[in-house]
Amino acid sequence: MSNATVIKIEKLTKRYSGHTAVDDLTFTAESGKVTGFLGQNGAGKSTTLKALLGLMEPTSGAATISSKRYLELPNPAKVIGVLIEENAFHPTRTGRSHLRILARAAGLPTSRVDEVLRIVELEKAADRKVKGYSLGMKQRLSLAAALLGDPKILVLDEPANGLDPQGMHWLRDLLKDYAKSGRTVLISSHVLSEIAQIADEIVMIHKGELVKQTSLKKLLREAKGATRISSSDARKLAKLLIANHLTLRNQSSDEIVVASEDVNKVLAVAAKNNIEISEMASENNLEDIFINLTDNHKGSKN
Amino acid sequence: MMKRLISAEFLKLWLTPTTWWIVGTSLLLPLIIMALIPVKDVNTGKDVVSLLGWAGASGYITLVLGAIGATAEYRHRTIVPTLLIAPHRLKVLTAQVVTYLLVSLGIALMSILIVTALVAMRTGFHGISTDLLVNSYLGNAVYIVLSTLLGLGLGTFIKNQAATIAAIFVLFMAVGHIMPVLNADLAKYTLDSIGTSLSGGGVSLPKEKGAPTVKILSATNAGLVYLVYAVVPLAVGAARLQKNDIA
Repeated sequence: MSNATVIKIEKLTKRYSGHTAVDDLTFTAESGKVTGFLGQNGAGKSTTLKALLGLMEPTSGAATISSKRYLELPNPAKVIGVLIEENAFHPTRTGRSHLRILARAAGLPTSRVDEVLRIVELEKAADRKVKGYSLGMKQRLSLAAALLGDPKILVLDEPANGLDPQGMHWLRDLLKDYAKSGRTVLISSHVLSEIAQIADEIVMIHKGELVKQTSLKKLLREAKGATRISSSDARKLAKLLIANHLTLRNQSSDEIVVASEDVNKVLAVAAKNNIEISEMASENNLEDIFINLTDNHKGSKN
Repeated sequence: MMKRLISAEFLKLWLTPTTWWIVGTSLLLPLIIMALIPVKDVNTGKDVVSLLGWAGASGYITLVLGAIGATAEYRHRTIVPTLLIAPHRLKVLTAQVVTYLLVSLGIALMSILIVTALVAMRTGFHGISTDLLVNSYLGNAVYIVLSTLLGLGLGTFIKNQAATIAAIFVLFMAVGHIMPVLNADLAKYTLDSIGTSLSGGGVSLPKEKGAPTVKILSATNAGLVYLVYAVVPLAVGAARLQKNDIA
């Protein structure tokens, strides 16, 4: 199956009174894939998504869905399902009422409300007032709203917030199945371990700028082979390794990061100079990669 | 599209318990007033019009209905799912305005019916002319509907619920008292005087003996002035809604 570009963010910039939330950001999300949109809190993820969804006007650049601006979609609910606010409910309405109102506005049959309540496993609580819902239940209700129009695209901002481990598992399966059926999923999160289990493609941003867009497999492959070595004499060890023509990927006062293939040389240098190694860890998780990439990105900017 | 949005706005009202409390109160208020006020010296058609004017008291409550309806979307952030389903913001606002006007018209009709029934039971109509009766009914209905629109307009403009309710109090209490002090001719443009003009006297509390007589606008002019009161904040609110980001 070929993967078509469905969501396109092109040179997007958003400035508020002197502050640049998103800066010349460009990335895409393709059909048949789960694209993880990663960034720390305040990195500009929600601002980017709000620009994509017509809730914010970008200062410059464009954000399109199948080459159309959100405003140009004839009935958006049937094209794109969105979860962007985890608590956008009237507290005295029931979960079912919330969905009925949205279904009515989108011209969808009431029977679809029951279907999505079943999908998100919220049927039993559907007739309770939303103010009595747990955070996880509210998140499921938001997901139900996103699924109402049976859309071909899902855009979810931090969808796992408040979900218990079972809920997380359920969400992963749901989104993977969604992408497998040829649909498009763009999911933003600052919880990198969660994205690592679900995404095919990764878009990393930092302070509103693109750090990297690549496939998760490629990213992990590129980073594999890095080893984090902790020592109380890390600075001395770093100097000796540089003198021995070894390249350091990163260093601080108590640890260094080197290519795994250099570990034996590092151990030899440490032993020769009586430098104690307190811990060694293979670095190939998304969190470390993210920190390294954003650190490098910051470095390249300075 | 517009039909769908109006239908959804009706559903929002129907499925929100607060609506029922407000509608109930708006009907109860003229009923209680009519049940409690003394009805001595009701001898002419004009006296009857003055009593029928208490139907307009529902307007105070529908003013709050409009204000709460407009601001609840922001208070509970439901504006976000609303605009995700229907991204054309002015269409959403238009649907809301149409819905609230229709609902307030329904409240006006019920309120007028209640007051009419109580007048029939307590005093009778004393040969009131059809013209006077129709004008009274129209004036009260217009007052209630435009009060709702004013609440909706202020809510759309201010967005914050508590601040909107405070603004209503300021408009009625402070501005209503300051305007006549600044210039006696302005007295007829206060919301209180406009209410009197439209309802035929009911919504204003009786003046003390010896108090200066305030000239009031004709019902038509009062309706037009009240329309301006309601439309200005609504238009400014609409412009803000269209232009501003939903942060």
